[in-house]
Amino acid sequence: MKAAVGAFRDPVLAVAAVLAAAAVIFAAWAGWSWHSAAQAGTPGLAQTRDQVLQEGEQAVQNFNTLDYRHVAAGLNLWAQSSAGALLAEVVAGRSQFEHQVEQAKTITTAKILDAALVALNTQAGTASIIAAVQINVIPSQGATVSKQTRLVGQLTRTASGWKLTALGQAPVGSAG
Amino acid sequence: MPHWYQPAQPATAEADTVQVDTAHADPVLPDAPDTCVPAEGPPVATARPRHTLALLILGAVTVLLGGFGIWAAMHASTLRTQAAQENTAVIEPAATTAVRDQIDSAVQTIFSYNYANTGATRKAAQRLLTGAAIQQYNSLFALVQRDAPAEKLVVTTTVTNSGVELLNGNQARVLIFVNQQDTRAGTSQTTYGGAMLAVTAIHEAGRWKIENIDTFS
Repeated sequence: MKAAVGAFRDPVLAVAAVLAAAAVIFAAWAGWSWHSAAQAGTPGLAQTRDQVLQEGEQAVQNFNTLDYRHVAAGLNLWAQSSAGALLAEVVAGRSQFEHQVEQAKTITTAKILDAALVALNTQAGTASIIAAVQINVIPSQGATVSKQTRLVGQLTRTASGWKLTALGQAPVGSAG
Repeated sequence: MPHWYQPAQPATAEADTVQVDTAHADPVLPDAPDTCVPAEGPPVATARPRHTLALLILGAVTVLLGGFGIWAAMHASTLRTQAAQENTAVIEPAATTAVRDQIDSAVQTIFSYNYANTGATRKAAQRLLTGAAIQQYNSLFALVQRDAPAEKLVVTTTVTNSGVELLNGNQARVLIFVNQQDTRAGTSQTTYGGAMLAVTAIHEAGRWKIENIDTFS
């Protein structure tokens, strides 16, 4: 003990001890800072949101894409992109729809201009999406018709990803 | 503390001690180094290896903990930077609702006007817009102020749907669907129209302000 006290009379040792003590305090502070920064983020939820939005956009695009030369494949994609009431609609109206598109000979493609989630409930597995969509329709004769539509969709989580249960245009007019 | 003291090379240790001791003792003892060697020699000789080992340990502690500290501080800084850049739209409900409510309200205000008092809309818009949007809006609204009175136009804009795409500290991007109801006061004719807007917003002076409006045209 006496020797230890004596040791700190050595200025070199005293400086070394002060530096070491400072290093201990700095390391403790930095460790705490790192720990708290690591705890703060919620990357899981952000990733889920991005995934739901991306799958929702894809589903909306699928529902606005149909080529009369490959109607069956196109409608299969509609079925794969939907669940619940919307899937039931696709299944029920399928043969009629195939007939209509083959008669009209149209090729419809869509581009998502912008989209956003309005709501997300990860516990219930539901979400609401709005999308600004550019739709191009190539008729059997004449020039391509291009229009912008405002779509509102409801999404639900299934075993094979997020799917649309409802999709429609945003209301225009006094009803809105 | 015998384990501290390992006089493996007493000769070297002693030689070292003498040199170091002269260096340190000189200012205190103005006498020649020779004189203090015999008196101070033995106790310093035992303390010296102890000091060396203590210095080594303290040095190692300083280097290791200092190194860890620098690494951890850099890591924390990186994480904080990432967190600050992270998009918190939707996943922070209160902040998301705040930006959406304020931008919805701002859009409804700046795009609604009565031909009898277009000045009121223009005035209200000034505190809801920021940056380049002020100039853009004012030059556009100058046309409204010129034409609306002759057409006796009353325009009411209502947001029907909106979603926050990006929320990052004081920056946000909101996708908005609006309905516009145009009424000509003279004829009572009403027309409806829909529009979609992507609004970039900045939080300043305690509220969200519109910085840019993209109409996808």
